[in-house]
Amino acid sequence: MFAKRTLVKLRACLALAALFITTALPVHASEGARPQEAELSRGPYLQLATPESIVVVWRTEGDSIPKLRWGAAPDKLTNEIAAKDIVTKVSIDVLAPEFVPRLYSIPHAEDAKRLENHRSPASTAPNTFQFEARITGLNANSKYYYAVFNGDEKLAGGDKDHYFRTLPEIGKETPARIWVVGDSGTAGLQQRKVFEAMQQRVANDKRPLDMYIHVGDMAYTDGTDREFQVKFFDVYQPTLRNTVCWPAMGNHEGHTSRGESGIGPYYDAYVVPKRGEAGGLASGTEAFYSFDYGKVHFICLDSHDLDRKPSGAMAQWLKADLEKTKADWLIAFWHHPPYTKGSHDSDREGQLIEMREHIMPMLEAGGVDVVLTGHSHIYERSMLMDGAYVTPTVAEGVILDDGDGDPNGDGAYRKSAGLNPHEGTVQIVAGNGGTRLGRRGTMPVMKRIILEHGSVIIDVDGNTMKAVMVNLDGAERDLFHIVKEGKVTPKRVENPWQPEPYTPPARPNTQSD
Amino acid sequence: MEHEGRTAKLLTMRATEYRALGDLANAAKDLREATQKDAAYVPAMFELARVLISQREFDEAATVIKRGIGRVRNTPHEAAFYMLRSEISEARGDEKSAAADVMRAIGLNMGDIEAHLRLSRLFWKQNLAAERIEALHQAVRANPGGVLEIELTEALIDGGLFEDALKRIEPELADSRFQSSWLIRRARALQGLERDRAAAADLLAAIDEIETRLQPTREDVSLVVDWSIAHALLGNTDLARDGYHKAKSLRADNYDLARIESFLRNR
Repeated sequence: MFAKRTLVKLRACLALAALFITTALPVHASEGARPQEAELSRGPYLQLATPESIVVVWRTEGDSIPKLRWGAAPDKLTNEIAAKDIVTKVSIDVLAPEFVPRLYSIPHAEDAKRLENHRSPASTAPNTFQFEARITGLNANSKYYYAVFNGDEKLAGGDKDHYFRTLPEIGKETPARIWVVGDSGTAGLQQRKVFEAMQQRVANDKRPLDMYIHVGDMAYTDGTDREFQVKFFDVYQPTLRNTVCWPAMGNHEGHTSRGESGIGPYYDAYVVPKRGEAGGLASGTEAFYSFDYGKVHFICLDSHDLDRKPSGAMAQWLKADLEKTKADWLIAFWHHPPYTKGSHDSDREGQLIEMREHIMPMLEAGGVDVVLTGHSHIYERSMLMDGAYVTPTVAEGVILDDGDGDPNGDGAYRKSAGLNPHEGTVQIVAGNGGTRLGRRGTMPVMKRIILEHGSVIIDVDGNTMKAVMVNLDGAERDLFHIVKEGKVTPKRVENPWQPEPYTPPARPNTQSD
Repeated sequence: MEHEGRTAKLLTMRATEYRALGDLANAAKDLREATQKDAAYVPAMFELARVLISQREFDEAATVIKRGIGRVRNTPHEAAFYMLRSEISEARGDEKSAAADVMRAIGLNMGDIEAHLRLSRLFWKQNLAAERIEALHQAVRANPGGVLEIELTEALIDGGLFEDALKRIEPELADSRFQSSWLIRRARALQGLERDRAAAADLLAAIDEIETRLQPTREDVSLVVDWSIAHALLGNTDLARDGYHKAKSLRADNYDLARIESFLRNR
């Protein structure tokens, strides 16, 4: 017992010592100087794509002379971004001028306590250098290859897997394929199998992803920098190096990151639009944002730790953003589902109730088509619905189409062309990306309730949206279409179809993450 | 807790869940225990203050906040405690102290849009039009974003700078799918310039658009507030009052209700 305790303390001391040791390197060694030994420790991965620009992010352990080369082919990387034009952020231990941004850290004593409790340190690993290279002047909807360097030493890229595609012109009709995952960040077998099933599906279809949306809880348990590395970046790197991940913060990331300050490992990991760079209204914060992919408008909200009331900054921004968009499709995403009876209950929990009562009326008055969430560790997909804001949620009076949305079943859901208020929303709870599943009951507006790990692939092409849930074995477990054409007058279904009531197993399988 | 014991962190995590479930009494109980177990654990202090404010236990909340500020001096958490303290002052009707705390928070975190918005509204409550406009100009310069730009336009109208406001409104109107909120802003500016007929046309167009967007069984409260304001500005006092009561029943924020009241009064 004594030896074990001593060992824990020793480990804590060693980790703390590492935190205290400063690297005494300038940031970064001047160009032309001999580069330091530096190991790639994260990425490279893509962020903040626009029709004419993109950001490539990577990290090294130890300082380096960052350089990015890009071009039309892996062996034709004819363009270069030099160190002076690359944003560098460093861990707190690195000796650097005051103006150099610091990566997240907490007081040493708090990290020591975390180590004693067998938790990973919350602070960024010592001697970490993060580089963010923004490539501009690109053509819209065009594919480019890239590589990242330390001086002249290539760290990664320059091959067929390291590429990026800029976003299509805003307002130009362009097919979009979106991968949606939630509550995945365990680094466990299920997470990997869900990822592999998506990769297999995409390979079979010969249709690569255009973007990746993560609806939160990507780094259990506390969203620390280390957890981000092991449970997010290490797992998804084959996709992250060529596909932008647009994130929403989950409650677990919220253990270490805060929306109002924009500080924490979550905010270190991502570069998202604050100034309307990719379309949409400038939000002035990375906590909530919007962007356009052709004629699809995407809105990301922070359901975790910001004011969700209509008079709060987030809802005020949402209202103004919805007034502005001229897209034909509207997809919104965040973490806490407005409708669920999975491992969480939207009739009982504050954040979920507030997103339903305050945010959903604004979105539906703005013509939202699909809402993507997680948090509840289950797959739930609603019928076409509108106006379900009261608590508890009931199906009566809110279902516009109680069919399954399957063109080979009850038929696709139908809406008028373009964005129109209150013509119906499909809610998808995709909290089945990897962590332990759970169910507490039956949400009456749901058409599909599936307690299996998986993820969602959405294709938007012209006037049709197709969505499938692929489970971890690669089986297609749900499918629905939305077709938008002509003028459709929504009608409320009088006695809508109802899902079977839930009979809990002898020992409830629930988890309150 | 079975494995690790009732640590401050786990108690705080449970309390957060209690709060999410609306069980403030149990949340406060866990958080008091957490702060007793570890007096230096800041998240528990912050969460406890938040819960106590929701329970309107302002004296105890103020004590917790004071202790918290002592612990987090010169860190980003300090701003969050000032924001909490400003809520207490505002609830007690002391808008001056509330504004002072929000300004302290902004000084520590210029990027916090919610704080800038709060400050603007506190200035509005105190009729400090020039201070409000200046603060918003600074905020927009430091961190441009849609919400603060809109708030600045509102502040310019409230402050009587109608021409300046119109310059900002026209391009927004031209670039918006739904125009009602910008039409109402333009109508307010036009009324300030005594162009009442043009203002009335804008207000009627805004009402028409809003009515096509209102959900028949349960309306978006922000649209109801706009609808009520539009009627108040048109002089349709009864309809404006109906909208006010509807907005109140939909739990509109006090600030929004106060805005409707002010337009009813000024009319």
